[in-house]
Amino acid sequence: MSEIDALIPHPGMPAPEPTALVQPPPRDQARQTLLGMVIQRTFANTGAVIGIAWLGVLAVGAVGAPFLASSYPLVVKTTDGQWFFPLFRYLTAVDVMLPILMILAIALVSLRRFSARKRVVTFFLAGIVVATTCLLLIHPQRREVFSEHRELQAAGKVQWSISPPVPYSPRDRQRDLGYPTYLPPALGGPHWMGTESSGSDVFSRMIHACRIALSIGFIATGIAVVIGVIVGGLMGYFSGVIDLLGMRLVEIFSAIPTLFLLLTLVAVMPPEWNPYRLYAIMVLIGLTGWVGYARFVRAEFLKLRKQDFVQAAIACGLPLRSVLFRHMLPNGVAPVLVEASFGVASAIMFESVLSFLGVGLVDEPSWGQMLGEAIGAAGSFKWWMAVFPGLAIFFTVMAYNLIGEALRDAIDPHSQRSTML
Amino acid sequence: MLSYIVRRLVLMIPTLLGMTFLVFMVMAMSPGGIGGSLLNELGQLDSQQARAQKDYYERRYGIRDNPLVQYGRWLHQVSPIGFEIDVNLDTGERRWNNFGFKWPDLGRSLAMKRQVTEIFAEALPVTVLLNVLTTPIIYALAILLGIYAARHRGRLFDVLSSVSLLALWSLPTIMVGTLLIGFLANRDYLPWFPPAGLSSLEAHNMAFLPGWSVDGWERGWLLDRLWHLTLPVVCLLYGSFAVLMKLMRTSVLENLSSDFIRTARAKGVTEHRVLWGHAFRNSLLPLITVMAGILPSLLGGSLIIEYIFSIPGMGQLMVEAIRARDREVVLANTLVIGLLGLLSILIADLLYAVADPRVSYE
Amino acid sequence: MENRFGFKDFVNVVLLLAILATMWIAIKQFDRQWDDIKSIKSEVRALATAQNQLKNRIEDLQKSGVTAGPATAGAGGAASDAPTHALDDIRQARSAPDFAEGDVLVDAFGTNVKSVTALTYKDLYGRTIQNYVLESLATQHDDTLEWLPLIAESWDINDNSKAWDEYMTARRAELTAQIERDPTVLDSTRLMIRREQEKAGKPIPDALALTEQAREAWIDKQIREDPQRPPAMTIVFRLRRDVNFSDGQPLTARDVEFTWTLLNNPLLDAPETRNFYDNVESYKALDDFTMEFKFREPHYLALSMVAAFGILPKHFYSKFSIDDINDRPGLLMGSGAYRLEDPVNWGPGKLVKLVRNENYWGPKPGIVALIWLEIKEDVPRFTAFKNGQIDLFSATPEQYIELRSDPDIAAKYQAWEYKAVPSGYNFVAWNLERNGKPTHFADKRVRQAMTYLIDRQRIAEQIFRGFAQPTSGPFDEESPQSDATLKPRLYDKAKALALLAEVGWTPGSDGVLRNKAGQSFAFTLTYPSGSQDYEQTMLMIKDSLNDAGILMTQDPQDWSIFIERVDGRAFDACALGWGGGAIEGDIRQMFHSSQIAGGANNFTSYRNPQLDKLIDQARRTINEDQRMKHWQACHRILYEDQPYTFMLRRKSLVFIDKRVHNVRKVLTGLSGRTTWYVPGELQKRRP
Repeated sequence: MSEIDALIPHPGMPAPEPTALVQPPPRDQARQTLLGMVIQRTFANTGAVIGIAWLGVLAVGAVGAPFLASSYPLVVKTTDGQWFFPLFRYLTAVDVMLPILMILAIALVSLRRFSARKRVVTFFLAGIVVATTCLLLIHPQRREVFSEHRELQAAGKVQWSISPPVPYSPRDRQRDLGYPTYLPPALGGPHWMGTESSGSDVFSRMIHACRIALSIGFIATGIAVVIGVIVGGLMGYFSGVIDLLGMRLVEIFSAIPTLFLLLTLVAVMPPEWNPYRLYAIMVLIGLTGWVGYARFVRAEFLKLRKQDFVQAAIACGLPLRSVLFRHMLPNGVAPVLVEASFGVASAIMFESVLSFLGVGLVDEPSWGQMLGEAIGAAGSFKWWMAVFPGLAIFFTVMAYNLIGEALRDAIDPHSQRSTML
Repeated sequence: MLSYIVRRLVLMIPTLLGMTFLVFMVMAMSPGGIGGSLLNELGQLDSQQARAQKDYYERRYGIRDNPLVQYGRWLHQVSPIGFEIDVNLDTGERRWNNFGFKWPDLGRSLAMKRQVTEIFAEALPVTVLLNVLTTPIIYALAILLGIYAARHRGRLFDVLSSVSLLALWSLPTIMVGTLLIGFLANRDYLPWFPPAGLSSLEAHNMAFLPGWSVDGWERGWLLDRLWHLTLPVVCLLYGSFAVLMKLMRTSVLENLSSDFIRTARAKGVTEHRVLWGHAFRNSLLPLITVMAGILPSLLGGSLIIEYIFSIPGMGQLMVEAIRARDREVVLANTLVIGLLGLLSILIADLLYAVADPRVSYE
Repeated sequence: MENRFGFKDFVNVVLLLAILATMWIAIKQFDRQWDDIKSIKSEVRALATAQNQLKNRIEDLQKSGVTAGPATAGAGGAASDAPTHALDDIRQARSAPDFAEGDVLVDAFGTNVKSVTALTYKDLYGRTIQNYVLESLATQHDDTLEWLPLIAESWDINDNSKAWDEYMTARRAELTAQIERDPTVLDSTRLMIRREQEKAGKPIPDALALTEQAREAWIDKQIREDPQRPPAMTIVFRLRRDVNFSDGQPLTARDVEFTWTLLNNPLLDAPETRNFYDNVESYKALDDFTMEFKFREPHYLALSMVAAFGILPKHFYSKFSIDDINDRPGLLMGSGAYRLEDPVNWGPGKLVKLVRNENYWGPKPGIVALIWLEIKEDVPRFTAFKNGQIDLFSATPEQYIELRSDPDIAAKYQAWEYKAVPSGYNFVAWNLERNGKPTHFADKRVRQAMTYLIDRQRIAEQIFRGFAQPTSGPFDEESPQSDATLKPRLYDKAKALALLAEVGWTPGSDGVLRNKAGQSFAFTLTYPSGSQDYEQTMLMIKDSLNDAGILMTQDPQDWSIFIERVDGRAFDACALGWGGGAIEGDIRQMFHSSQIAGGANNFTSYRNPQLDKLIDQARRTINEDQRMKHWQACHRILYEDQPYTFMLRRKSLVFIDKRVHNVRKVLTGLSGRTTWYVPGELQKRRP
């Protein structure tokens, strides 16, 4: 589906111009209900629930990756009675930060007593505190000796130990165990999903790749939405010359296939950015994907601008920022949410295509990169390198699309009518 | 109508300028820069000699100049009006003579040492062939199945199809392509299809149509080509097909529930006539609009497919050109793809007016 | 209702389109057939002319009463097997009892051939084609490495280096004195250097350095332009009189002179080749069959430079303008055993096919045509080989192992494993100086330690499946240039850590090596992207360095960027390979300190005055035994200093169809295709 650009309306989206949305209700209290209604309707959709469940699985994989797949055991008791906690020596700040934030998020979501705004603010404040402490305090051991535990075991020095369920790190190429490249999968064996071209465990790489896939999806789409909303909003609000110029910009970006543009940008990226390649790719995917959002927001704003409550806000002499973002945006942002859900799917797809083409990340586990190595130079086909990562991409993209569909049904009364037919 | 078309065509010019400018600047700012592709491909870096060569090209193509100047030069080269230029290779000086009409020139690929037009003349037909084969199949399948699903609303076929369409749409091309090659074009599994290329090596000596020859059955050039194109076309069509079929279904349903259909039914028109005579044509409208979006995205999609199936089309050309920092090819490619994209949007708008008498561009 | 576009119209339009498409395809097909017929016609025409010419020649010979036969055959007699002429190997093949003419050899290139035009071709593939079509004055025998006459009958080398040396010392002193008398002579040179630096956007050196540079440049210029300067060497070739080009025109010294004149035309798009042959100062045809070359500096490769250069026909190339030769991809004609079917119109996308030169002046090879298919991707090339569509196949180690165990392949193909003697090698280059400051690798003990830490044996075995071996230096182990007593440093972590500790790198609490300043030992290894072998090797290096407490970051870059970084010395360490190059390799460009400045090829900024001196001496020594001693001394210094970690020399793994006979392993690889033949009953392909 990656060939489907932002240009093509998504399934079930009949017209290129978004249809009129919910009429602007009286603000404040109505917004809550609208959001609540949307969430409620979305959860009523089986497809969306399945999608959310799968994303939950991915999120657990992304957050808990080091605890799920690592060559280092959590606890080791040696025969001479010493206790070690090898895994904790290697945890990075992000590894620690993510589970804390996830627990915090779950706790806040279940605390229904407080208002949503309070909960969000608490989350962000706590998040900043946690992130800074983690970054300041945690300095993992940088020299990675994956074979450490295996050697101890072989020497008979381990009395007992608890290892993660997948006892291989994504970059553990098992140099001490020969050169086990392209081992086929064996359920119950050491490598459930086999090993890849350099001898590391496919399952472990699959788990660790969740983090990259999810973060790229979110951040790239976030960037695209922000740019799209700002450009589209300005275009729709001011129209005239700004609109004309903006539309040219939109046209420029939508006439070049996104993949072409992205490939050019990534390929000519300065090598100095290489340490931050992941972030650079996120930004680039974001920079090439904002066009769709801009179109939607522009169309919405063109309509909203003429409505009374906006005119009233302008007449009151409210600053532009307030008119745009406090009064118009909440009413025009709904289709953007739907679009963003599909956007995440296509951002994940783009990342995997880049990795597949070999211009993605270096020595980082990625689904696309594994898929790209499935067909060897001699034409031998390692099916496990194609099936597992391929399915992971497929399920994830499908999950986002299901959620997007459900969101659209929940927000868009027009499509509801057609479903009710 | 004519004035509308002219206005749209004129508006395309700034867009094309913007696109090529964007791509040009990105390439100019990148390290390795525009001159990167000038180094020889031997893989042995004989720097002294490579430098001598680089100097030569820098003089010949003026690569050391300010990127803006170079972009201007490129624009001049592709524009249909301009000067005749004489370049003095020793000093790198340029003389501008005889202003007037000239043939637009896409330039000369620095990495491939050939005219870009010549390279395109080989690559473009391949990509166009892929798309020309795919688009009608997509439309035919989507229209027929969409109508079928709409008519059998809520039945098993419809329910199954609506779930599987979303799944189909979510299937990553890279996975489908890899799996198809891996399982259907592999001597370890089913060697039914060729793993790569556009035709067999011996297709050169085949007759055009299949038939019996001295050595027994021969599949012929046409069949051989189709055989090679099967998997790529399958890869290219399923995604767009999913979108279109869903669109068709929704649109047929919408039309069938509208007032004019109710009137028709009330008049006693047969159900068959209602569907094909009244609802069908109106249901095609959204599909026409979408066509504008499909063309550029099919071109982009062929990039992945051409890469996976090693088909020497525009997509593969682009990947190679980007890797080699082959400025002229990348720019020309952007220009051509952009132009095709913009034209297809325009054509779709016009078709819309033709198909729907209510729309007018006067 | 009537004029609406209904379903029926839709079907009609589709049908119409289908008919149009079919017509178009049919036309296309006719076109192809027409092309075929055209090529057959031109072939028939060429054959007819060839026949005529042959007839004429036989008549000529009969008139003059000489029987047709090889000119130099019998010179050595049966007593010695050693060839005395470059074509003796073909003669020998022809005398084999099962020798037969016929059959076509099909090989595959991994890319599209862009240009085969003489001198302006740009890649290995173009060069391969040149080798079959062009001939040189002499060639080096592929097994004995001796120079054997080909177009030349004989040659004289006049080593004038003594007189040249004397002149140089005297002139240099004179010029230095002149500068001291009048320093203003440098002014214009100084200005020029300054301008050039400005133009290239590089910092301008301070006054003292500028004067120094200007002085060197000025002296060099004066010497170069001095008409009185004696040549360092002169070589005179006497040409055979019976050589003709593939169109029947005789080859004379005028053609040789023309070839060199063409190369030195500044407008010709072959600056890199021109630069390489800069040492050839003058070339002159003394008469129709005598050619004289003079050299600027004494150099051991002088003979090979002029003797191995392919000769172009003057009457053919002078028909074309320089722009034509620069831009047209298929201008190639020579006197070799094979020729392009059409020497003018070949272009990319057309079949790369050489046919036997039926006008060949020497003994004709057995194979009547050579074809190279262009198959870019590995998998289809492999399939084509398995289906018997190509006769030669260079396999990766992985493919080789798989194929060798396949009984079908064993029955149909002969497998060859060999290491050609000017074999290339891979290396990791340690940058000694970055931004004017010494790096971690400035100390040779650190570099030695790095070599100890890279497990080359294991890389050879696991990644290259044993078809590669660790190397100890820039010279092939089998070449007399290398000192056979030096053995590659094999993996030894303890030794490496001890060496690193000596320099001050000791493991910190997290296992990472730190120096006294508390810096941890981390560096980036830059390498060209896109190759699985590189990728795997780098991972292997990364892991084993990590195990020792050194943090390595991978930095794969596209080739164009890679070169830019190497030229700008903007890397910590980089991995690359040097190709085989000349049979007796010259290491000046990689290791001589004069090659550091200005983006030349000593990109590690490695300096060793002793090595500089040895290299200069070796290059000037024409006497082979003495020269080898110098090279061996160079090898010892490089072994000690390790500016590179010399990695591996790989073996070539080739399958060749069994029907091809007389394929032999020789020192430089496999014997040439001109000596191969297919016995009559085994012949498979018609030309």
